[in-house]
Amino acid sequence: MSGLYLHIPFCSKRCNYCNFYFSVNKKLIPDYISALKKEINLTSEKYHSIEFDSVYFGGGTPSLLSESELSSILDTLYSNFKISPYSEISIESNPEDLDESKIKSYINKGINRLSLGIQSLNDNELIFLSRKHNRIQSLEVINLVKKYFNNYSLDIIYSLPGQTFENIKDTLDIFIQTEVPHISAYTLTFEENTLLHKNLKDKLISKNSTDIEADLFLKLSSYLNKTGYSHYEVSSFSKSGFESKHNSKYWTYTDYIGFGPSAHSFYKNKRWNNYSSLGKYIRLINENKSPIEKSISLNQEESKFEFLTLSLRHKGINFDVYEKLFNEDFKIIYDDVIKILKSNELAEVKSGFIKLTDKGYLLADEICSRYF
Amino acid sequence: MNKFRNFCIIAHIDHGKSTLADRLLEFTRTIESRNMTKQVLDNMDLEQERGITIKLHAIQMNYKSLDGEEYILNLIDTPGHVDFSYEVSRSLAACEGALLVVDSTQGIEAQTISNLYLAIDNGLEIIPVINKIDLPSAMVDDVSSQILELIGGKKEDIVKASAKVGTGTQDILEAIIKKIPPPKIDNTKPLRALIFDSLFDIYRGVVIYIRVVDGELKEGDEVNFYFSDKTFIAEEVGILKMGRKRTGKLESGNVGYLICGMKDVNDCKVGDTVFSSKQQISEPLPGYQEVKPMVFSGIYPANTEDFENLRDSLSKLKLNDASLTYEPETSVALGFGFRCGFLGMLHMEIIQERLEREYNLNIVTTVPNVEYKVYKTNGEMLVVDNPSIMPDPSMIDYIEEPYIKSQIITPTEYIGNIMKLANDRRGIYKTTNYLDPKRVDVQFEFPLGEIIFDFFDKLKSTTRGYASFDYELMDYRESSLVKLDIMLNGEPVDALSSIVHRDNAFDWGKKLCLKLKELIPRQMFEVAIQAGIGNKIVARETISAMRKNVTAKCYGGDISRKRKLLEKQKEGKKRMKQIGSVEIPQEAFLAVLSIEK
Repeated sequence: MSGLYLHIPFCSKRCNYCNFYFSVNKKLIPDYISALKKEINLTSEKYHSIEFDSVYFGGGTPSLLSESELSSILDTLYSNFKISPYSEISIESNPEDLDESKIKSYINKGINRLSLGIQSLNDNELIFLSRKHNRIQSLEVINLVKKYFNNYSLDIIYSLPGQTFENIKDTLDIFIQTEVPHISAYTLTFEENTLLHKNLKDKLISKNSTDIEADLFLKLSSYLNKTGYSHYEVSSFSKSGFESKHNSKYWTYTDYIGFGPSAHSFYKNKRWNNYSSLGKYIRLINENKSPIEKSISLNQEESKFEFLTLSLRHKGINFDVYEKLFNEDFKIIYDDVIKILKSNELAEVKSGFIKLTDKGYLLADEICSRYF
Repeated sequence: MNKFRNFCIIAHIDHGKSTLADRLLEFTRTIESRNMTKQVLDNMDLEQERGITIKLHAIQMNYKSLDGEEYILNLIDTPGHVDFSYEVSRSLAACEGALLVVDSTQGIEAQTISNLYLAIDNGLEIIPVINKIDLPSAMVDDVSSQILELIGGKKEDIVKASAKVGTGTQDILEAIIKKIPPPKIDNTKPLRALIFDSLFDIYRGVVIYIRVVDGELKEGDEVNFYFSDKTFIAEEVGILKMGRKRTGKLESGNVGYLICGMKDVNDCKVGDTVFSSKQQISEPLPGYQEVKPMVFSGIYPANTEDFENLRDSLSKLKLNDASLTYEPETSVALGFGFRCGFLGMLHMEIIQERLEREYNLNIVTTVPNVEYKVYKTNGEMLVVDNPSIMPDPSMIDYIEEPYIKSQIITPTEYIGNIMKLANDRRGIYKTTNYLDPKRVDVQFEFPLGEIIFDFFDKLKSTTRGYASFDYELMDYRESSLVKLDIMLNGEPVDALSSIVHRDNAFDWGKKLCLKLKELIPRQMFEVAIQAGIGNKIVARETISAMRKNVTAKCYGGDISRKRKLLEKQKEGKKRMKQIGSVEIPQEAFLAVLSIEK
């Protein structure tokens, strides 16, 4: 089944590590919501034959939306798409936006998964990341979320300059104690056009070497593994049965339709994305024009490359699926690659698929650009 | 009365030869100053950029002297680099006199001296000119003494000039008329003309630059080339002004060009003699030599599919440059390419740059080497111009390598540094001559293989740019040489092999391994770099495995961005050479060149 993605391009401020498109002008929210609903109404007809089992509110900061705004979007979705009653309906939230009544309202609207941008439980680290919330706030919100949600995820950003694994463990241990079912753990990246990148260039801060990053990644992965989380995607860990249904669509080459500025879609071997500018998006929709900026149909070679690279980031390449899609036997064609990856402990071959090890995950891009 | 004067200019690089030539052309109105690009003689882009003349040209001027007579002056330009010394000797042979131009701020240099001796040997009348006298740092008296020390004569015979501002131009022209003897003219003798250069014109074929020594050359004549033993019909004959000027004939004593439908520049060898095939063939003009390359290296296309392009480009370069040689060769590491022979390092660099710039090729060049004579235990002699064809040590009786005789001219305070450098390069000290109390001419013999890498740069840096260097090939001598192989993860990389002296092999192997470690990026697996002689490993370095190359996050399903990123990485890998499981960047193949000896 397919996924629906709603991009909520508002944040109350820019974090210094983020180069993603968003607006801080909350006055535009009403115009945005009506444009979003119009986009959904205008395009949904194409997807009447398919069923959806995931809805994901991503951002930006979706928790900035009021109950009624969120509600009206959800209503529009339900009236336009066939959405399974067993769907995973997720929302990304920042700790500072949540209180008990807001959490309850999410539950009431059928939202059944919450992804919380904790990033760290150390106040100095949070200041370094220019986050608005602090440790105390976070702990309170985590307890509230735990009280109402069976399925939720906590985010951590690690490998901050000078950070030791002990520092990271302080945050992880609390995650583990709360028995959170899903953890997303990202190494800090210094994206262009961010304050962090500028500070790095100006030598105000330093960046951990890739060797240190790799050590921290392996330690974190094995620690989470020992405490009951399986490493099912480069940056994702979950207890059994709590993998993100929506995000997994990205890695399993399954269709998803995105709405809102800069939203990405994949449907029938075609990828497209909307303009990222909020103003342009609203204007185009109001002029009854398509908000799509770019659209490409993947040729055989591109779709094979994507399938392989995405599968390797996730739970591995399934030989049967590969053969069905591309009419060739992966095991025969990439016999050498399989041998090299196995003998260097970068991958494991198990019943019907090849999956990267933690060490292999660290080299996923290198492996893909080298062998595929 | 004979109005011809044929002359050339002997000068060190940067001493102002081209600027002086420009002034002469301007003064004689051969060219209008407003139409001049700076330094018209150096008309290849590369020459202008490097400020050096690499191919010779000639130009004719008409000059009305103070005595009221009008003279015809042929200026024959000479290349300014040691790689082209044979070509220099042939253009000198086409002249009766030479301007010896010395920079008043620098003094006389090694190359000037060796070319000066060549000129004197050829019986040329020398007119000394001290240039750049307008500069505050000019040392006119010191430089005058140096010149007198070398050629004798009187101080007042030295012309003082500043080509930059035009001082002394007329004095030089008058000296040319008065001092340089006119050529001997005899139009009745059978034709003998000296070839001193050629170029390839895509419409006309080979254009041959000649000095007619005896007889007369007319269009329609059947001409014969002595050493290449080819016969052609003279289609067009003329003199050289700013361009070619057809005159229909060239009389003895004059300089000009000949077009005869020749398609292959190899048929026209510099130094060869042109005869009229109808007349009785007499002795060829003296001094002809077959030009032989001294430095060899492999040139490979970075992308294997460019092999044919590379072949075409080399054949086009060869049209204009008979001294370039190339033969197809195969390297396990680099695939199909060519083993090219060059006159020297500068020649090699010029060819590489032209391939890249003018022919837009991405090439990989292997470490240059000289030509060795390998005497095998079975009595055979094998000429080895590529380390990868060196026989197994067990089959070698002994190896000979080429030696050169070199002349270094330096201010005395750098003698110590030069001795040390020479020692590092297996130099054999011969003698020291004082040119004046502050400048010496130090002579060494070196194995050519020791000076082709970076000797010249080293010499310059150890003498703060003051020393100059010149050399000529002497002979082959037996040396204790070994082939040093490089293995990556146990696999030998033929293109990285080099031939070195046994005493230096350990040290060299260590440095080469370290350099490669620097140049080869980390790979998915550990890479062992080993240097070995035969089966013996003499050095080893390890490149530790790459630990991390993965994007942390794909925001909101933005897979296209990730694919683009990976495709970019794939492109980067394509530019590397894959050897076994190891990817090697192109620079690594020239690693040896950047190693400190």
